[in-house]
Amino acid sequence: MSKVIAVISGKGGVGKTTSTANIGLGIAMNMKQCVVVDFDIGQRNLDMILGLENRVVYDMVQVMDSEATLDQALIRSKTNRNLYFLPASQTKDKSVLDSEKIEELLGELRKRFEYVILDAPAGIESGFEHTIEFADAAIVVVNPEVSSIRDSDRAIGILDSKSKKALEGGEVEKYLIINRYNPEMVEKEEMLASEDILEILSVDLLGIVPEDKGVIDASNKGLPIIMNEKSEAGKAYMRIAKRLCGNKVPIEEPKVKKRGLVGKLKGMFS
Amino acid sequence: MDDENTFIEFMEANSELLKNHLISVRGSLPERAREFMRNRGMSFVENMELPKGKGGGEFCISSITGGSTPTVSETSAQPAEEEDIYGDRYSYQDPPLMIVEKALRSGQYIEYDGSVLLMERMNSGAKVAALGSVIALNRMEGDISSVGDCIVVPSTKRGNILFHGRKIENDMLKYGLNRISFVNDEIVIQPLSKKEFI
Repeated sequence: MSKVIAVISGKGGVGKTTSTANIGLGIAMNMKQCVVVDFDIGQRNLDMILGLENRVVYDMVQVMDSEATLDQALIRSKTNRNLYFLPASQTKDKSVLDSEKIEELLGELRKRFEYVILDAPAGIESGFEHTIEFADAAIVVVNPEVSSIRDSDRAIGILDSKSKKALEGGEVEKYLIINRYNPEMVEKEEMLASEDILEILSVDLLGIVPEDKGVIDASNKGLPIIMNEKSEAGKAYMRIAKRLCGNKVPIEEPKVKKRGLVGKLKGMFS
Repeated sequence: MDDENTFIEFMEANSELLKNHLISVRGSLPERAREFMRNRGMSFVENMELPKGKGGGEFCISSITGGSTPTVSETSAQPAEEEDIYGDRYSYQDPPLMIVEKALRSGQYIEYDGSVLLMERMNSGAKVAALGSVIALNRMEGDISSVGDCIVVPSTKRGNILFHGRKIENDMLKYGLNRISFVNDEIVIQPLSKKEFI
């Protein structure tokens, strides 16, 4: 049975699109058929993070307007045959989205893929509401800072009141990813700890992704960090993908790395 | 009370006495007992936990009309107009106590003519404006405005409290549960003392 999962955050710049790309690829690496859909109409970015920007010919809006078929618009990943990408329109704005057309499009995607991952736009405007409207579940991406947490809290409130499931008396499943977690800063009480964030947001934890400088380089190169088996962030995304695929993988809280003598000396001069 | 029938008989016998109080029940009630209490217009909460610290435990809030309205819906965060809060409606007869059993999230807004009881946490960006009292039993980081008899809140660093239009500074809230009320026309903050507990 297919599952539609919206990746949301409320605040922009927290790593939502990066998470979408890594989760989508991770699910595909777990041998599941997956499509990632860029719902950020007018501000398309997911194509670059997946390294597919030069393959975009048709987009989601053209499919909904019957200007192109779904087969024409879907792009297969260069790195994994189980992963597909449906791009957003870069030349139109969010006002072109229409509930009936979105439901029809998602219905088609449900028939073809086991996982349909929607990358929501930042904010809580109409584009966001359309992304969550037909979702079965939502992944909330949050940074360990108060502004991100408040915006996520707001987004969860809207999810709980305006999604189709909520309007029918049900509840959309919600999972939390804490992104850019820095255990050194947590230890110094300069960053909110994961348990504090969970207490505020009251959402099940899906995973904690540690701060990792390699993520930016990976995104710039169009090679999601999950492909780097040595990266801590990549390993965290793989654990998240496995959990989404139904595997029991324990949550790993990033720990402060004990530095050797050379590391300590470097730290003194940094 | 272990026996459901005994509980209902007790409530029936004392319904007149208890109907103007909030009844805190340790543990969960069977559905038949819940239904009975709702039909009698009794206000009740189950498994209530109070913040730890100075002044905690079970307590009874007197002079609140029975009945409960437990649901809160997402609203657009339109601030209440001043005249709505402090205008003619203040003289209305007490409406039923609103019991909010879910956490109030950022952007969620309750505007109510009566008293409001918040059982779960109130997050930063959430707002309650009440003509009656407001009692927050869990962590409180939102905005509370009340022109009722009192505000009861735990200590808070991020909360924003207005009592009869006057700002209550957070560093004045020193107790596990603080009761903000008028004593001789002055705003006084006191711990919710054990004498007031059931």
